[in-house]
Amino acid sequence: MSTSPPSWWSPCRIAVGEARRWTIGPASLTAERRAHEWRVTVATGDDPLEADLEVAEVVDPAQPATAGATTSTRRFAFDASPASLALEPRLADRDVVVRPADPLTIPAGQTTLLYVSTPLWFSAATVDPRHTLFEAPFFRPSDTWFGPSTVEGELCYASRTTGRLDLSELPVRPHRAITPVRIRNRAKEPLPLERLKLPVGILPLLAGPRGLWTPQIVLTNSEGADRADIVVQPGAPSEAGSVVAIAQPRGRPDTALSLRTFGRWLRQGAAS
Amino acid sequence: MTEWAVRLWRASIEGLRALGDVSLWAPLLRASLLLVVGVVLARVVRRVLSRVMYASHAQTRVLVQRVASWAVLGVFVVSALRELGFDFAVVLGAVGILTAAAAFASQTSASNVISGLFLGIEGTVSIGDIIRVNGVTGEVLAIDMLSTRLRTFDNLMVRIPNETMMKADITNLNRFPIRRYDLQIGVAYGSDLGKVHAVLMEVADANPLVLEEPAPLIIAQGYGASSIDLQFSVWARKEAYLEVRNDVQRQVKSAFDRAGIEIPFPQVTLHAQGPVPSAAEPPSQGAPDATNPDDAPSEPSADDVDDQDSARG
Repeated sequence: MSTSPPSWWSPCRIAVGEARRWTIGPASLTAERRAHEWRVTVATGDDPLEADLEVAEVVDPAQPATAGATTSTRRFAFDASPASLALEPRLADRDVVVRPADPLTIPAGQTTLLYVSTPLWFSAATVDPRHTLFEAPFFRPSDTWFGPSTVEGELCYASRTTGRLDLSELPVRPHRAITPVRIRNRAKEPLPLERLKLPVGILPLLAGPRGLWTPQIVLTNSEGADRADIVVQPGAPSEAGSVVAIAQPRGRPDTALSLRTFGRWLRQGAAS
Repeated sequence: MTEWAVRLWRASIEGLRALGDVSLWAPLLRASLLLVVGVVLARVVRRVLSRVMYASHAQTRVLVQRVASWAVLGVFVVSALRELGFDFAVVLGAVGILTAAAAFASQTSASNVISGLFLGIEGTVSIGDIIRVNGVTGEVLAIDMLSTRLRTFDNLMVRIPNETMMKADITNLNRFPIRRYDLQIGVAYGSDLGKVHAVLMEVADANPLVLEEPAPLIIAQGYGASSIDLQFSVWARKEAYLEVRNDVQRQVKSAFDRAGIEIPFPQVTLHAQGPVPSAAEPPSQGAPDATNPDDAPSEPSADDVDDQDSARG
């Protein structure tokens, strides 16, 4: 029998003068409530794939979260500080580019299922009344460029993890969401999969016993087309088990799109 | 005196009568009204276009606004002049002579105006761009009829005639969304180049503002006088360029220090010929006396001067 990981996104009531700490992956967030103020300190460690999870521990606010971590403190003033604070998970605010673990080629007419994990952001908000205080990533991913040249393209985030064909090879981390990506190669030529751009802005976030998920997306590579057709499958992926939706898509939740998704450019163009 | 006063009195009375003549006042009033309406309407057109074209490029928006408002104002000015009885046939006849005279007098201005139009059409430079022209780098505040105004980073306003802009080499620093920063760096001859490569790549990997793709580049530039010269090139989005430039220089230095990789600097070693007397010992018989100008050693020859780096020393 598997036990569900604790849900770090549930609202937490904090008394005046009390401080609580959430340690989620590489980030540690300490929230201190004062009579007229919320003081929130975020400390980020060095390892983006850290999988620690501690939820709302009562701590001494003067005690640093992690030695050597990068910290930043934000203060929010109120007439009377709201009693509860919630951390709400969000998918990234730009599309995320993922690479397969090793060079992967999909022969003509074949279909494959790839599991990829993408970094999450969190939004800190008071509950009653509701005020969004700020939004931040658990670990700032690297920027990357996705396009046919240095002039034409789109700014994205680079995922630190690689896509896997076997779900069991993909560790469950509290600060990342798993997306099953089904890729159909309808072209007559093999499809070398070097980089894959995930349009996370159109995906909702689901929580289940195996962590955080998004619905499955289906990418279809057609003959002669430089763009892939994207379909977001309604409902939850079967691998995720019983899930609940905890965040809506950032952008318009279109179910069918056509986007540049496969990337095998730029290696030569940028070198000059 | 009395006669002069009487004349003045009569002239005043006639003047007042003329002022009371509506046939004289009416055209003047109509012309004034037309001018006021023209100015107001030109402003309205300008504001409406500003709202309608809010999504358009700033340069295009400003150009369309100006042309439209000038056109509206021009129509009303011509109408006002007609009300005042100007004969445009005569005016047009005079225009030919005036044009020839004006052309000689305003060659530079005309050139600037035409250059400004071409700059707008060409679209190389737009309001808000960061450009470098004739050694001046700054943000384009406006491209006016005669000149382009830049705000430099030390907050100075620079006016560049449009004609100069047309002739000069202009570098637009933020036309494209990403930029490359090239760090020229030298490492000591004793350095393990494989390790240098790995350390530089780690620096790029650890900085989230450095783009993962296009991938960072390390280009061997050659064997320098004191070092093996490399170019370390990283890409960043244009908004983060300055931050990346500062971060990468600092981080490369720190990473090299941690890894024991030396960044050498030129050193000169002088090989002295003959024994050098110590200060405590008096010069021996026959040995040259350094204090005696006649015995001072000659200037070292070129063969005695050797450029070395500290790593090899």
